[in-house]
Amino acid sequence: MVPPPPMESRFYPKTTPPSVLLVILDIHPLSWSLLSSPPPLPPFTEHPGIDKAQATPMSLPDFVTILMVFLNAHLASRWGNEVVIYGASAGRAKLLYPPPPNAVAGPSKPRPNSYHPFQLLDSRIEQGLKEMAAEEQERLENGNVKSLNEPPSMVSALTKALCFVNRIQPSSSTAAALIDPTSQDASGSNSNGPDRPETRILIINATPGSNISNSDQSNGVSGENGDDGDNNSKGQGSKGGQMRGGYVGLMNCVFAAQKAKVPIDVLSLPPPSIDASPPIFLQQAAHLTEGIYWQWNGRGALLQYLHAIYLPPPSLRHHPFAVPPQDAVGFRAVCFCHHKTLDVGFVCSVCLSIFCEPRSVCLMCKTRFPIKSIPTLKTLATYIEPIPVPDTVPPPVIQKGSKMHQINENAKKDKSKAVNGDRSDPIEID
Amino acid sequence: MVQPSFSHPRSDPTPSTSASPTATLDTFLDNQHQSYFEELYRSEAVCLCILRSLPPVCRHIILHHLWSHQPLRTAEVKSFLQMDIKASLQEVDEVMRPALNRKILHPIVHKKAKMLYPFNDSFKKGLRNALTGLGTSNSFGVPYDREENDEVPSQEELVAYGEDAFEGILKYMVSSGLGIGFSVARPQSEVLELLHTSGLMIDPNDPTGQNPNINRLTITSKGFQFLLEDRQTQLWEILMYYLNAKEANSERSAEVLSMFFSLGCMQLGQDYSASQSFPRALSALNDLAQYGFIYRPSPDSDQFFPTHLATALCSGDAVATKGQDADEKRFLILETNYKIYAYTSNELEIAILNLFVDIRIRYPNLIVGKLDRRNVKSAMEKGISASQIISYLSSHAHPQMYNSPPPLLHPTIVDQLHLWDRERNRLKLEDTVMFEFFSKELFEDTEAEANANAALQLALPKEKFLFIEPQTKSAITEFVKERQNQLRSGL
Amino acid sequence: MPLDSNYTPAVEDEEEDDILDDDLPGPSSRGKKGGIAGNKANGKGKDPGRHAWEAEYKKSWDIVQEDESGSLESAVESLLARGRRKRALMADTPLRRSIIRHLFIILDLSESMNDKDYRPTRFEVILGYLRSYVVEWFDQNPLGQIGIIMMRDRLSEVLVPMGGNPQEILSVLSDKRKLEPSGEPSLQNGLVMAKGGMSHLPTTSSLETLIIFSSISTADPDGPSTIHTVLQDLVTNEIRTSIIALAGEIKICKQISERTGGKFGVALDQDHLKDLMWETIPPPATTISNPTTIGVRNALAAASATGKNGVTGKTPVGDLMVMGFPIQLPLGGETLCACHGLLKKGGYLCPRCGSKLCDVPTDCEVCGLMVVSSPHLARSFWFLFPVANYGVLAVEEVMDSSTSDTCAGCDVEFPDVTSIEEGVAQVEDGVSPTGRYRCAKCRNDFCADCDLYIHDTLHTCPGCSQ
Repeated sequence: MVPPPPMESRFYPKTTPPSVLLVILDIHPLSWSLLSSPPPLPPFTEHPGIDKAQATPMSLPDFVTILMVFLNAHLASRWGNEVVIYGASAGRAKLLYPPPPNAVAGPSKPRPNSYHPFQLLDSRIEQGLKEMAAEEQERLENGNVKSLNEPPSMVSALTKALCFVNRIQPSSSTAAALIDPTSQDASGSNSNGPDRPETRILIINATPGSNISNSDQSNGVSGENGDDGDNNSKGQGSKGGQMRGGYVGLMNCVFAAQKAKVPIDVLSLPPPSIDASPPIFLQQAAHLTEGIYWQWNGRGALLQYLHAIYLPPPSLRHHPFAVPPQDAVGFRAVCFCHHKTLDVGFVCSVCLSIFCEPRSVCLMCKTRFPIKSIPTLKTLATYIEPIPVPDTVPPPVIQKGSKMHQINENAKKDKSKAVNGDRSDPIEID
Repeated sequence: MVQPSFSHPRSDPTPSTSASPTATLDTFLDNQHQSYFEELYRSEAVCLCILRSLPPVCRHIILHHLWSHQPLRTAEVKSFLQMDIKASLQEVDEVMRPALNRKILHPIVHKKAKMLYPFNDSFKKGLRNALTGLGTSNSFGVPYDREENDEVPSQEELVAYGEDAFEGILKYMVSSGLGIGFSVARPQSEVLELLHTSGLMIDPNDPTGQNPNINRLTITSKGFQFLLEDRQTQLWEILMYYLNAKEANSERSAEVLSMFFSLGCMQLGQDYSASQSFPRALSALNDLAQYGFIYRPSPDSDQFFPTHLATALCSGDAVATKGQDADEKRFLILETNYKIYAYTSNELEIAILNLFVDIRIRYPNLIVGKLDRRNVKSAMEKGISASQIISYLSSHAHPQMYNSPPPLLHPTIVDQLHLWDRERNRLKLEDTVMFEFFSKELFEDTEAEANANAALQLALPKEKFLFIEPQTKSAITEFVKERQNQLRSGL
Repeated sequence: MPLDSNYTPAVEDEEEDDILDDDLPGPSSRGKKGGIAGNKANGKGKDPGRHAWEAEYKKSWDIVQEDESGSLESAVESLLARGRRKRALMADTPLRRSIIRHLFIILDLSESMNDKDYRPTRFEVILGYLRSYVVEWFDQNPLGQIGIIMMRDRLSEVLVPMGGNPQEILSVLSDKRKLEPSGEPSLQNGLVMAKGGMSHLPTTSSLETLIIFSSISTADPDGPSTIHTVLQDLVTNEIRTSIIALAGEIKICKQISERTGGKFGVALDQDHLKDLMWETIPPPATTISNPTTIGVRNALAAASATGKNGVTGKTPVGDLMVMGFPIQLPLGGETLCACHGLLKKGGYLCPRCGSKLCDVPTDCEVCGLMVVSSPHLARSFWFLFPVANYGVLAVEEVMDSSTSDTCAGCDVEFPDVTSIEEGVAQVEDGVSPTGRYRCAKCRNDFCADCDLYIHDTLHTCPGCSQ
């Protein structure tokens, strides 16, 4: 949230460094089945033009087609731009592009009407997705039905993406520091060599609810698919692992990304009609890394949105290009004991673990807490009643017929509505 | 004495190399008409390359708006760029100027102080098709249907072929100027003619330039400057000379230009069918073969391979171009004591260095030399400027040089090169006629008169000397005599 | 084993040896439990009969060996890799950390800082190091606070009061003109000032000072109190004092750090100085537990096995705090804040009462709830869920099992196993001959770069999080 620069300092960069875009695509089958048959949207009375657009079913093939065009546009926007794509499916993540070195080469013959790099990228994504689908199929046939209910493994994909970033631009703290201890002093020492690519990560989330950690959320998802029996057992079984790999893992990734100055952009596909609550931890990730968080409103035009919001590289964002206004960010956390999302929690003063209820011994570091304070804490806890958040984004100055504004406004309204809807519900569904 | 003030690389991160390699192309395009672009934009490859040649901000606004149905409005540009809504039209125009010049957008005055920028339909269609791969113009090259067991040159072979062909031309140019005995094959006569018409080489025995003997061409100062440019710039310059030559023969150049862009989008190592890819520019394609842009297994086959010279044509900036041979091009280490270490065994590079470096030691892969006054000045005599030498040195700097704190080239050396450049212009020889006066009045009157007739070169009132343009000598003498008489009679 | 019963929370003075051995930050003291505490300072000399200066001079260029093609690259690379691995291996998981730390850096700005034995001067070197030290420190101790005190002209002066904003400290440190060294230092004054500056802080957080001492004497004021009484105060207030001397070992310095449970070191050269400083960055274990260091997970397992009756009669050292996680408002319209009553853009909403606060962490002005940003807390979670060290893989192991060809982190291709010569293939120094490092839990292989990155920065194993 950089304030707009003063008007007089208007200068535009002549060149930008090449940009590497790492896309993490959520291809969880359950989420996509939801997205391809969306419930009708509530009427959007404030703007009749927007209301005319109907809820758009978005199937994975449709979306991948759109994504390919977007990625081609990214490649087209500068020489030396690169794309890396990870697919995140139920409980696993895989590199889709660039292909592993030993993989069979793509189509040997270039087509006369498509730029060869585009063609390579597109065919390889298709191939990679098919491979991954086949693997999932295999998993299912091996009787591993439960695994399908795991949330998509965003954290794993994020760690992989960050490792990749680290490989192409090693952080100064490790390698350089060992070679030359004083090099850390000169913070700009990284900029040697003529052209250093800038990297960013784009997470495309398709799973409703904060797809990490909230077992009740994923239960909700699969519940709609009439699959109740398995869920409960699974929910219990994978809780610990999810939490650890979920909230903490995501946060660790966020800090690593912060350190590497890699913005994490988040595009959340489930429209408010499917997903009342935004994925707050992904939102936090975008906020903390100065990325862009945006939730689709379910009314088509994804291709335009992608180009408008996510195409400009980080060096052109904020200045000179505007980014869509970001909404209020809930800095909520997940407790270590029941993996609930908390507004108010109990924190161990020694190890800073978070709990949702007062206890006498810290689960993590075994510190004993004074027993006599527990009743006080308990009474404190009973007052915890989350308050609704007011509509936070002020309505922009509406210019008649300005499309950019329509988009922004549209996005904002939907988002703030989503926040409200979420906040008025009690958060702990447990 | 006034201290010379030079623009240090310190203050300017991209010293003197900031001129884009496609500068010649840009000026060419900026002078074309709507119809020319309409013809160009039929090819998706052109749309893609033109898009990439725009400045980043403008480029992203185009991409941002590509999939919209409505024309771009000034208000949108302003809001996207966080300009004040009341900002003048001028500012928006400034940003969008490159796109307007390339006829990507047509400006239409909407209301007062508001503009609409609808897309050029053919460009919009072309770019959309380029991104989706739905075009029909075969502009990315039709692959050649070759037999299974045909010999295919490897990428390295293609690069070597392209290098040989193009460096052959450059070497020929250098050797003509220095008289160093390279065993250089003479380029084909079409190439030499182009070099002549472009003014890179002239026949010294033919001052009019009408009937040159192309076997006796020598390099001009423009040619020397050309040698010091980086490869990307050289390629585009040659291509633009070629294009201009075509235009001069009143041929259609759009097809040829479109072909250049198509070549730039092709893949190294892939073979294409000439007749299907460029049905209307076959002869131009044949001409390009002489410069090493394409490789043909046999002179009259339909199959051709673009070399790296062609595929790197559209790689935007010079750094990306070098990609594959970047390390080879970065071979120079320049010390503050003017010593140059050049890790190269490339004859051409050595010859170019020899233009301004006193080469002292030559090992198989290392040249040690010194930048000294004599050699640099002799280079300057040939028309090479200090900033060209500086940009050559910095663009070929060894990666090791980047490890020291910026600036890349030490200011001492940069300053010294500039000083040598100035030194050349320090004395100006002019013929003159000197008048010596004994009377102050006469001196002053004559000075005023000479001044009025712009004949005065220098006046020294103390010594009462006047220096006058020689051709006005008689007139001034007349005046002096007349005035002298007047003064005497007055006394 | 009932771990909790072995754990003695309060610092006992008579256990000085233990303090020295176990209280040091980092696991460097692990594994030499039997070592004599006094030997530690000059622990550099490897064989006991000889002094350091009698040892043969080690030529640094002798270590480097050329490979067959005469290139040094592989040798340099393996050296580099070894150093990096060593760092990665050092950090295992000690049991308890006090994460809310308060540190005063006492900087000696006496004349001696102008000495040129470090290039260009001690002063410049220290200032440069301090800047990156502060950044690194806040990275690892998110809820900690740092203050800086300088000693010159026999006086001490608070340069930066205790605070949690690294930018503020950095901006002060970058102004060299205000820090011009002069006169003599007074260790006593510095310590008294540090003690005063921390007197209001609760003892549940860890109180520390780090003294960077350049001169070889201290000019303390006459009067009833001496440096020894100050030392006694420090011990009773549990202020851990670590001293890094640039010139030589000074008895009183060593005594102070030993008595207060800090660390004393004499920097041999620039690299060593940096090592010494950086050793103080990881939070010290607050309490003296039994010497074996045990991971959190093991501790959890052990605790659940023994049940709750393992602990009796221990006074609680920790506290459970109620914290609220706010909602950050976008920079939209202006609203009144509860803390200053001013119209401001942005801000944070208290999750309990909904009043707007300007900044976090703070206590809510209205309902008194401690409001912190959860990412602040999450910054330190990697201490609690550390990534286990990866094991090296020998050639045979890779040959035997069907392994993937690419690193599970960055998807870079591993070197071909068959091309690795048998002769070199020995596991030494924690450098894997195959270039692969395997996570024991998820059985995924990683390259050396990812191994280091995952343990140093990322703290999450890509394989295990699947």
